[in-house]
Amino acid sequence: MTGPLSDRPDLTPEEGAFVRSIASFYTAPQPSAAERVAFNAKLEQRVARRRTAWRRAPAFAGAAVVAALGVFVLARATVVTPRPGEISSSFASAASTTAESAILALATDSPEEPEEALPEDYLAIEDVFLGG
Amino acid sequence: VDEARRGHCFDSFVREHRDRAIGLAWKLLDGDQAAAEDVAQEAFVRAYRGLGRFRQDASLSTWFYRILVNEAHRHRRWRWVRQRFAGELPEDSPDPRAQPLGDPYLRRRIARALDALPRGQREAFVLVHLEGFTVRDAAQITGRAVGTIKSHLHRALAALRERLADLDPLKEVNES
Repeated sequence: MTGPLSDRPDLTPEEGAFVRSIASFYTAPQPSAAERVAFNAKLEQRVARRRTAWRRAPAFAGAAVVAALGVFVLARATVVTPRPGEISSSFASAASTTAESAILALATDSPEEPEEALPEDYLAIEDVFLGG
Repeated sequence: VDEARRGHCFDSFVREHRDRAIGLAWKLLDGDQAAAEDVAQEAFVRAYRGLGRFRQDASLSTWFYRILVNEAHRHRRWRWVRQRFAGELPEDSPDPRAQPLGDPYLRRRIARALDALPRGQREAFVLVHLEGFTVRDAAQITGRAVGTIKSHLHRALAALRERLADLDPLKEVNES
């Protein structure tokens, strides 16, 4: 992680003194032993919670696939059965497209967590005010 | 066994980098201690989850600090939106945890001056001048070119010296 010492910016003595002065005034508090223990415990909880969520993810995905297939089967069952040779090709393709889309949507990569998906209006605001 | 080994390695990594991670987040988040701890935790969780995807084209710590800096940026964006649309947050909410030593007024002024810098300049200044990373490390962490980091450092320093001229020790000497 550490590079050669020469990989430091060249500062004039005045600039160096200013930077040292800022660094001395702007220092984060050192956590106490109790705060470190609390931090570790909270982190452990967060990791465990996420791990549980990741393990449940395949079960949720499986349930969603079953639900999508159920919708597909129900959609087919409610259609008036045409006489042989009169199968509506447009309906068949539409129904299979719906089921395929549902399954594809499950397989497609989506944001890993809800908070990672920023709302569209926020993204627009961000582009205007923050430059991305 | 793999999970246990991963957990053990991760614990060591957290122990080694925890204080610096919180400190770096604190500086990037204008001295907000609660937010700094939250961001550091989130960065550790994401690192843990992403360990399998870690490519060894950078050191593990560089990769982790990259996650942390991005997480701090994400937090800043959400804070900005909240402040903009839900009203200003209280400036100094009481925090029962230890307060840093030194003058709180001065600290706030520095935080505001850093906050006013563009993202690239702020991150470069904090990483190199306040956290002691090398220019090359800062370039890897922020995903920018070394030349860009140097340029950001130059501009950040000029802007801060202008905004915080009274903190410049040599200027004070010259004026007195």
